[in-house]
Amino acid sequence: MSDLHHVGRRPVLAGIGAAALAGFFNSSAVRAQAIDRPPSVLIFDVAESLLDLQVLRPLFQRIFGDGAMVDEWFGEAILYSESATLTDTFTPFGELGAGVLRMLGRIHNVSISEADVTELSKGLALLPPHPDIPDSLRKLKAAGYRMVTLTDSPATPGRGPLQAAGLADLFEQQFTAETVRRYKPAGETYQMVAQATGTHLSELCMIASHPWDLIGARAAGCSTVLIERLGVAPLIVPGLEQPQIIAPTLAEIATQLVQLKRA
Amino acid sequence: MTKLPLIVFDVNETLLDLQTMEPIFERVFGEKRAMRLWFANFIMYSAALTVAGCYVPFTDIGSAVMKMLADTQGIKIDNADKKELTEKFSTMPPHPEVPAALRKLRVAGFRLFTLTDNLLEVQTRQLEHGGIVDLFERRFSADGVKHHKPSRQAYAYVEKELGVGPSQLCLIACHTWDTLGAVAAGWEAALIKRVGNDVLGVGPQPQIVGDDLNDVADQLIARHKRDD
Repeated sequence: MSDLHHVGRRPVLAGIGAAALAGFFNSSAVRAQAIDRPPSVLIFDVAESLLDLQVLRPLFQRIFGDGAMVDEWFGEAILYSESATLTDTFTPFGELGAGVLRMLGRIHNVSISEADVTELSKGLALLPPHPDIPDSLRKLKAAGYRMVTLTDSPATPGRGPLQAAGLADLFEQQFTAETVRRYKPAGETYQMVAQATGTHLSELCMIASHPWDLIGARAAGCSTVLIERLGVAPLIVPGLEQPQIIAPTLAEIATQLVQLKRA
Repeated sequence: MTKLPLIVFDVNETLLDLQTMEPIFERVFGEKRAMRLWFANFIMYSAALTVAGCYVPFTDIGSAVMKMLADTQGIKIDNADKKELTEKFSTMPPHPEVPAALRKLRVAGFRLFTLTDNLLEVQTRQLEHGGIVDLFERRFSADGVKHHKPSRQAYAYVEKELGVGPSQLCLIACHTWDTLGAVAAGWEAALIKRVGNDVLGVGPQPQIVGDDLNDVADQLIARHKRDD
């Protein structure tokens, strides 16, 4: 069991997830090979991973009388983006998100106005970073890491939430899955980043708080890191490799990645 | 006379009552709504694994997602819980109107089949337990092609097995992501608006939308009568 908590010689900062890995799926969890050299490029997922989606709770509270509906909305938006990918019926992410909001309105017998849709999209454009994000990103940048973002939502260089938070300059490029008309976790999205940054997939490290994103990145050949925030836990399935690093904050992950750079 | 389409049913929630899964989630998570969260994540991870090109049997995804959600709340799950989940899922009863509505479709001349992400042994047990297994000519599992719905491969698998083109098939399901997959594949599709489900206004749309299987069966019969 202890080798689930220690990948290679380096202790994994497994936080609350350590207990998770010790559960009844313990015997079937496959540990990934340790990251033994610093990745060439760090790829960050943005919504939820870097930015706090929960600030939208008041909007969902007002519309549905239940702030937790923000999670249902996000989950369904991801399901329908995956469905568009599986059926080759690409629809822009903004349209999917608005469509899902209206669908939830029909399901819960709540009317959704044009203004509600606009308020959601404005809210998404202004999501604030989680408290540990700005310092951790700067630390990684100072250690010499090349950093990019990869999102399902449209890239908004020059505006958008990363710009608003003063973090956009830390990233050399912001990629959107819309370019390849297939959403994460499709292999084409990670391949696009490899190609554009002139690296091999094995030199890329995907960092996200969504296990489903990391499943695709790992299958494509990237190394993966799970930010195991409150409400996040790894999906442990027989035969599926777990992320190389699992830690509850980006601060702890950054410490580990900076050490790797210095080693 | 135009040939009637072959009707292919989704199984979980479409034919069988998912709400009967609530007690186990209420016991383990302390609230009934955990069941809906689990099922939504179940489908989302099934689709994600398919997009990523990783095949994992549907039953394994279901228990792994239950464990993942329990971990996020610091709740311990043991083998007995996992066993109960599989047991309850394998014995969900049909919605009350389902047996008679299926018979009505057969009397009208329709041939009935299934296509589910469930393993063949799970759906066989479900349909036998519900006393409706004999109403279907053949039962298909996406496990047969190792791609879960709504991937093109899952629908193509049924086309190939039955030796028919997509325009000769009609899916009946209560999940919009499933009707989306069928319509994108060139099938006809009908959506049953079961509790917690409704149409998505973007992407491929089902030709028929109804409140239960009776409603959908009547619409299908009327629609294809006009073709005679």
